[in-house]
Amino acid sequence: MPACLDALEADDAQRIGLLDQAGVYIHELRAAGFQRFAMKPLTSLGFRLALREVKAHARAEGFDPEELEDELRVFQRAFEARIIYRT
Amino acid sequence: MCAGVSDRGQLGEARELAHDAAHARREALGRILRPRADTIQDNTLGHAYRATNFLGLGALAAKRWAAISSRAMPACLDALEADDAQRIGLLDQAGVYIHELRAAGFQRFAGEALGGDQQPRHAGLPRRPRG
Repeated sequence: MPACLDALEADDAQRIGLLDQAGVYIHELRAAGFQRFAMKPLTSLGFRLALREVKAHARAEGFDPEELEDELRVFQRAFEARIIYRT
Repeated sequence: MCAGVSDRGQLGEARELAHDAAHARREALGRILRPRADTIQDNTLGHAYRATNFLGLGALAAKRWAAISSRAMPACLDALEADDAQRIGLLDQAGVYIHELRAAGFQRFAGEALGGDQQPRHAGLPRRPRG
């Protein structure tokens, strides 16, 4: 989680590096017996719950909910590409 | 942009502004999600656990539940669209499926958990005008 949160806040170049580093945890999950098919729905669910929080608190941070939703989706795509589909 | 035509630095400035805006959004995401990350993770795993374990009732029970609730769905959708008086009648009729679920061994706690834990507080009362 800390690595993923750092990646969330990082710029594009740093983000890729941080997500690649976080891929090691996916290898750990695989080694513990978790199949790839289980990871995608869990990831989607986690992002859906995160999005709910983001939309609920966006205005308090001075943003439109849609702005932060788009930004979170950008991260989700990078996360899935670098971690779920690549490892 | 054509080669050799200066953008007077506007393109670079626009890029910088976009970068700053993205940076601000990302920092805001961090401020929102960092203090909530553990809760989100717990909820994610909790949902997954309940989904795969079907409240401890197992896969066979999930199939039974699906069969009965699928038959109940048209009546419930009719009730959703109906006015208050019709709705009460339709929901009473749909109650037969709850009896079927009970007869199949499902306890009340499972019905409440799967049906949603928030009952509408205005049930049976006139609706407030919208807008």
